[in-house]
Amino acid sequence: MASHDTDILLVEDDPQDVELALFALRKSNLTSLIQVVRDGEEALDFLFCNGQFSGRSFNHPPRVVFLDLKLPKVDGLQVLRELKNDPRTKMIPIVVMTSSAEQRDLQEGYKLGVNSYIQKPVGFDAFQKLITDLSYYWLKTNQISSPPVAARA
Amino acid sequence: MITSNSNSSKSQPAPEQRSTLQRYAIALAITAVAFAVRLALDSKLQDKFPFATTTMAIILVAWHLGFGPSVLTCLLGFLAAEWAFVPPRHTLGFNTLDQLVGNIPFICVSAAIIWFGRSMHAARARADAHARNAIEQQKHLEQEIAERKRAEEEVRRLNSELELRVDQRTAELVATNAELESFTYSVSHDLRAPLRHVDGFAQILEQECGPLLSPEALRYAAKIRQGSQNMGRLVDDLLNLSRVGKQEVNRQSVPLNSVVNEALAEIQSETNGRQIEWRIGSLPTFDGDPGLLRLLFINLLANAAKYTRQRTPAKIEIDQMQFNGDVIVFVRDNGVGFNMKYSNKLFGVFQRLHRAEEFEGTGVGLATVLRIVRKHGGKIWAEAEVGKGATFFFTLAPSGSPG
Repeated sequence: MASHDTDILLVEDDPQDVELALFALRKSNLTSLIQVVRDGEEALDFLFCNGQFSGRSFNHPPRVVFLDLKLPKVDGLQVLRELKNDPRTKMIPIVVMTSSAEQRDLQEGYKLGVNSYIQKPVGFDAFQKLITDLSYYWLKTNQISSPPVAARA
Repeated sequence: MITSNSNSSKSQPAPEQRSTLQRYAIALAITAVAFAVRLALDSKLQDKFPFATTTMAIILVAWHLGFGPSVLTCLLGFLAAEWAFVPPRHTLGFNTLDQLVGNIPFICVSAAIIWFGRSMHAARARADAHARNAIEQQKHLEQEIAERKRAEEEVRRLNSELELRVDQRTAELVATNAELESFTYSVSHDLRAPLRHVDGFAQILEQECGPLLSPEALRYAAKIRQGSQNMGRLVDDLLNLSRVGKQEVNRQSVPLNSVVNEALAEIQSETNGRQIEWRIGSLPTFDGDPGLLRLLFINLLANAAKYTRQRTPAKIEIDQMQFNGDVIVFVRDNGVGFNMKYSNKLFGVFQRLHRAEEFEGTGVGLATVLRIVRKHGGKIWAEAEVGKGATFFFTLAPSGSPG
């Protein structure tokens, strides 16, 4: 079983959304380690242990990634594509959390192998409940597989 | 003797170029030449062939110069030849019956020659006229063909122009559609995010700073949240409406009873805890888009549930009836109804017949319903009375079998 230095990787460019998500996570009473990255490039650096995250190891992937789709530099679908195309990262659960539920995004997301696709509700009550449910589900209920690199080590 | 040109041209169509005087003069000259030739050959021929050269002259004149000159040649030539070459010479032999009878063949032959020459001539003239006609007709035909070709060319050019224009318009339409789609996408994404922020921070304000705030401030915070949630619903409804407009009808056999059950499950959160008597009859099966029909019933049933809120029990009936061979489905409620005076506003976007404090809503639901019904080639209308309830009737294109 791999150890995790991060429970949740939150990929979100909007500071307001970040604050609301962090507030909701705090209120969920789950002690979890949350890393926030603000664009697609940073997300890829984190997950592929590059750039400012070169000290990280593939042995310690986040237990779940909450991924927005509209992101600066590299958009969410591209991040998803690169993660799912690489054997070192393809097992990391990715939850797309986006404002829109456009059919083409949904289809593309599932084609690329997204693990879950969620439309962020407008009402904060619903948003808060959603964040709590998601955290419990992905951190407590869901079983994850050890990354292949760790298995070889 | 000079006749008018029109007269001569009637009997002699061929010698058009010469005047009457010229023709008689030439005939006279030919007759003289013929006489001179016979005279020159007289020592050899002696009494044989007295009329030979005159006959040739008659043939020549009859062919070339027309009826009058040939008669002249015939008379003069005959008299001259009779006088000069027929024995007894230097007399005109009309004295005895024998002589008269002897001249008859010549006169007959001459008349035959004249008649034959003239009719040959007329035939040639007719043939010429026919040929001219034919040539003219051919020219005419060629012109017509050329004209037709030009017209065809024009049609082809217009067609290709039209095709080009259609292509252009299609490209413009595709571009507009794409723009519209990206607009919808932006609306759905970019408008919802700030609304979530407004609602979120207003709620955090209530939760975190509640004890510090006056009841008035808390009420305002609640109003902020209500406003943002209303706008969220509005955005969602508008997106639904635009999706319905964009979406193609994916026709399949849809049993309306199962669609109604799905719609009822969908609006459960609104009907929970209420006393509603649902009366659902046996509904037909329609050829239609299951998703759109579901949306149609969700809107109609949610409306019925909403506007019967003050009734205990609320009664909502969904059934079908036949009228003039059409299957009409209706949703009837015993709610607050509306004044028929405003029925023309019922299906317009953002049109509402009730105040927001009485019944919440965006004014998009029935506009969406109308679009769905129209997309299926059907009609929708309503009957209502204030305080007594409303009934919405609709038909869908009669391609389905009544179930």
